[in-house]
This record gives sequence, structure tokens and C-alpha cells, in this order.
Amino acid sequence: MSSYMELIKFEYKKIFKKRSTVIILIIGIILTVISSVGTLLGNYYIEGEVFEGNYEGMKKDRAYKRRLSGREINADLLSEAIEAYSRIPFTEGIYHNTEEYQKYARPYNEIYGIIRKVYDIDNIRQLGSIPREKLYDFYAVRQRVVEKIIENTAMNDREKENSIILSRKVKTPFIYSYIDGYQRFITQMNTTAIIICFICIICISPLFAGEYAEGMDGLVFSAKYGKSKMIYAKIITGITFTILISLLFTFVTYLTVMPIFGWDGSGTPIQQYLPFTIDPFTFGQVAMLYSIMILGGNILSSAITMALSAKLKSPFLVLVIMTAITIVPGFINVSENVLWLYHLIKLIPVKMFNLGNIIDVYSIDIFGLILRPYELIIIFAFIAGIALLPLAYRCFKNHK
Amino acid sequence: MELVIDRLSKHYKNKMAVDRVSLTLKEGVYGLLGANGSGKTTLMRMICGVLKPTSGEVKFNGIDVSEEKFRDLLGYLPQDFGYYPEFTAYDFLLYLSSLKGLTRQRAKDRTSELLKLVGLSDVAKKKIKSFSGGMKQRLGIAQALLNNPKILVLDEPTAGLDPNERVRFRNLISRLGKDRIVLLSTHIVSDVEYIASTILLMKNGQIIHKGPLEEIIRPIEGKVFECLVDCNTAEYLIANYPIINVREEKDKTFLRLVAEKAPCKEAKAVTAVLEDLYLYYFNKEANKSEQLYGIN
Repeated sequence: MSSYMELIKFEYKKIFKKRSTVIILIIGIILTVISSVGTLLGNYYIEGEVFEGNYEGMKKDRAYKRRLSGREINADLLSEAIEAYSRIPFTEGIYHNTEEYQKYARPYNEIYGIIRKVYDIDNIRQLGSIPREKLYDFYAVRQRVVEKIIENTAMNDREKENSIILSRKVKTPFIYSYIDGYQRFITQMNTTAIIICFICIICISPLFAGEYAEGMDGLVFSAKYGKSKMIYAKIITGITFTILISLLFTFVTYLTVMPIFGWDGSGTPIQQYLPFTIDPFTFGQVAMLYSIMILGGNILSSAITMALSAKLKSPFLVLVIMTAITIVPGFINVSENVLWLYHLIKLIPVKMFNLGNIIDVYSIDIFGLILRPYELIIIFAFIAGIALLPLAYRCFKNHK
Repeated sequence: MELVIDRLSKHYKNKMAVDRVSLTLKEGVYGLLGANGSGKTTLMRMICGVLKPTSGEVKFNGIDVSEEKFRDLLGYLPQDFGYYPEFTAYDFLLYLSSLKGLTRQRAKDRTSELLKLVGLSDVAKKKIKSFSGGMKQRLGIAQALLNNPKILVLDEPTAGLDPNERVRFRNLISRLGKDRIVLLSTHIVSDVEYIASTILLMKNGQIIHKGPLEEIIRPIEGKVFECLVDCNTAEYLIANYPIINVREEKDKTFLRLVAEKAPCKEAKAVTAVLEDLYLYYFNKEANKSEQLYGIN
């Protein structure tokens, strides 16, 4: 065991002794921090004049939303929101710029967002057309919309049934809470995931191929552990490095976003932000699940990087291929009507970083086993990642 | 202690790099001589298990080259070995010690000991990227000795060393050969001449001569001549005999050549040395190609 630890220590030393590693980590952290709080930079303008700073605006919204926190989302709250919005006069410009919006409606803008989605209205003028009894029926209306969405998909009957059953497990009524911290964290994690992915690709691509590039192959292959323990040490280093970088950047994102936006809302149902989500998850659970899914995607990406690094002799070539594997799928969109391909493409690492994998209404029937997309992705990422490691081992051991 | 190389071959697409080489090596220093492309490095890489042979096998006391036990007994200095530029000499040796299975304490002791031996103690904590070619070569020699190997394979170990360092390492290698098998290849014929107990002459992937110095130079003993001749005679001799050395002097030309009997009346027989034999064999090829391209 001590010889493994010693070899792993040196593999880490090889990674961290490179100036490029330190530079890329610093750049990664700066990018993460800036993109996490980027929405707070700058000002909101009305008629060419600064109305308020974005940070000031966030604080104002937070105060409004906290004032409503703890209230049940019911007909009374929805009516209050509609009443507040009805005070906004007709304007040809942006209604956000009216004094009435700022004074009366702004505290309810998130409630308005829920009404708009559940009652399928296009603009604030249609708010008045929602019958009062439908407001009392809010949760039933929401459930009907969810089930209609499910029915309209190309899923088979078993899959639809599973999604409907799951959606009915969502606990109601929802208690309103300030959730902007978690909302920002979840949104930001998509960018953070891609930053983690590139850092891992850049740092891991020389793990095996670097031995050829640096002319060390002769020395390592002729050493006692050069074809055995050293390869395991490299694999362990690649995987643990990915886990550590993923955890580091997840924490950097969390600890940048949450103190600024607020820690509230971990126990609030995700449906307050995404009303048609079918899983009975809270924001805290979604944040955790999303982080695990991103970790899985990055482990798979690193495993592919290691397999290529062991097969090819040039870290640069590995970097080029992995960059293509990471970027190109971003331009590929598959219709939801071809469901098998739609689900298949989500098994590409970079597609695993999509929050849609958790909030989609889909269930997937795999030879009788019904899974949710995030379940399939997490299982696949870990299994495929592990399956690729022996390939990396063999490729490097048998390299000529 | 016996390293058996049995019908070892390596084919590339259109080339036979090593052709059925069979050798049995025991304690001592073996000098492998050959021109560029003769297959020395390929042979050494196969002996070290770095390169998989097309056919044949390498065994040390019955242990196959593919086994970890074999590598445990091996020390190898490749011809163009690399290094991690950001590592210090000390870290580099510690890393290779752990690759060679040394315990942490033993690794530290051996590292300090070998850095002293190769004269790098003062720069032990300096990054390798700041080292000169000679210093890197010394570090390479040190790493090959870390595990106190029973088989030491050194590919061009004295390349890049200054004459003083070369002599020091020649002596060191000579001492190492007392209780282990040392196989070294070099272009510096005098290194082999001084320290190798057995000389292996390699050409076109085959060992064409093998034996101690006296035995190996026997084919040209009494056949090496030196003469100082005029221009016309020199031209005639260069065209007809394997030339070992040519030196222009005032109005004459000094030649050292190989011939069955004195090629001219000025020629005097001299004692043959290994360099004569080397140049005799490998200049034949060079002379042939020079003639082919009309240089002569």
C-alpha cells in the first residue's frame, strides 16, 4: 500500500509541478467566481438612466421575497399577485420600467412566473381572464398540465405511467420561500461543470501520453512497477484528481453564490422554480443530485481522457480529441420524438451537465427496468468510467 | 548469473532491425559496437522489456524479461532518456526509486549516495531543466544504479560527458562489472576498449563478432599499415584499400589503412587497435556509399 501511495504522490507532483496546472486552476477559479456573481455586476437602466445597481436590485428582490416566505402558495397569494399586477398601466414599453410595477408588482414577480406557466398565459393582460375558482384549483390545474405534458411525449405506456405516478407524489401545497441562492447555484453549475471538465482534460491528458512526450517511457517501462503498480497509480490519480477538482469547484461556486444571494430555500420544493418537475425534490436535493451527476459526467470524461492518453503518444492529440468530444455535442440537438437517440446523446459527458436531465418528465424503460434520465446517466457514467479504466491499463501496458 | 538471449528478432515493416541474436552473458562488461542503425538500441530495448520482440526470448536465471522479477534486477539508461523538467534531481531519483520498489528510507539513502557518486550533491535540489547535457547524463547513470541491479544496460552512457567525467564513468562501469552483467553501447571505441571484457560487434541487426579485445582484433592483426605518401599514391591507395585515417601534411598525405600485405614501399605495419577493426568494418559501408555517390 505504501508503494502505491508513494507512486500516487509522485503522479500528483507531476501534475502540480507544471506551471500550466497552476495557471489553469487560477483561471478556472476566477472564471467560476466571476460567472457566479456576474449577474450582479452592472446596472439596470430605465430610459437611459441608472435605475438601480444589479446588486442593489438583488437585495431589494430578496427583501420582498423574504417578506412572502412561509406563506402557502394558494388562491389568496395568487390573487394578491394578480391584483398587484393589475395596477400596472398599459405601456408600449417594458412593464418592468413602470412605477406601478416597481411599487406593487415586483414583490410578486416569482408568483407571477408560476401563474404564467401553470395557467399558460402570454402576458400580464391575460391575468384577469383567469377565473377565481381556477385559482382555488391551482394544484389540480398544475397536475393536469403535468400529465398532459407526459401524455404528449413519445414515451411508451409504461414510461408514461411511471412519470405520472411519480408526479403525483409531489407534496402540496407548496410553501413559498426565497430561493434565489439555490436557483443561482443550480444555474451556475452548468458553467462550472464545463470549467471542471476542461481543467481535468488539460491536466489528465499527459498522464500516460506525457511519459512518451517527455521521453520517460524507456525508464518507466524498464522499472519494476512500470507495467503494474505505476499504471494503477496513474488511474487512481486521474480519478481522484477529477473528484477533488469537481468538489473544489462545486464548493467554490456554492461558497461564492450562497453568502451573496442567501442560504434560504434548501427545503423548498423545486416546483416553485420549475412547476412541472415530476420528482418530489427540494432545492437542496436537486443541488446535491445535480452535483453528483456533474461529478459522474466528469469522471466519465476523465476516464475517456485516460484511455486516449494511454493509447496515443501525444498529450496534445488527446487534448484536441477531448476538446472536440466536449464541444461538438453542444451543437447537436436531437428531437424528443426520437426518444432512444434523445436519451442516448445525453450519455455524452458534456450532455450530462444539463439540468434538464433532472427536471425532464421522461422515464426510460430499459428492458423492463424503469429509470429516470438522471438515474440512467449517473449509473452509466460510473459504470462506463470504471469499464474504460482496464482499457487504459491494457493500452499503456502493451504500448510498443 | 546468466542472461540468455535466444534467437531474438525484431522486424519492422520492411526492415529486420534485429536478426536472430543469440547470446549468453555472464558477469562482466560487454561492449556493444555498431554503426548507427545497426540495431544496438533495438536490441537493448528488447533486453530491457521496453520493446516486444517479434520472436525469441530473453531470460535471466530462468526469469523471463516480461516478469516483474526481471525488471527488479534491471538497471537501464536509455540513449535519449527524458526527465520531468520541473522535478529536482533529488525528487527524480526518489520517484524512480519508488518505481523500482525501494522503501522510502532506502530510496532516500540510495538517492543521496548516488548523487554524491555522480557529483550532483550540490545541485540535488535544483530543477533538472537547469542542468547541462552532461549533468543530465550523470543523473541518468545514477537512476540506473538505484536498485543495485544485477543487469545494467547502458545505451551511450558517456555521450555528452567531458573527457574527465568520461574517464571517471569508465572506471565506475568497470568496477560495476565485477559482480553483475553490464552491457553498454557506445560510439566511443576507446571506452569499450578500456573497460569491456567482451566486445560485441553488431551490423545489420546481427552480432558479427564477439569476444575479448585480443581475439576480436585478431583478423586485422599485422594488416594495419601507416604510410606517408605523395598525392598520386594516396589517391590509388584510397581507391583500393579500406582506409582508417587520412591526414594531409605539407606536400604528402598520411594514411592508416588495412591491407593483406604492405600496400606500398613506404608502408609500415603497426599494432592494430579496436578502432581499426571498427572503422575497417563500418567504413566498408561508408566507402561503398561514397563510391555509389561518386564522392571518391
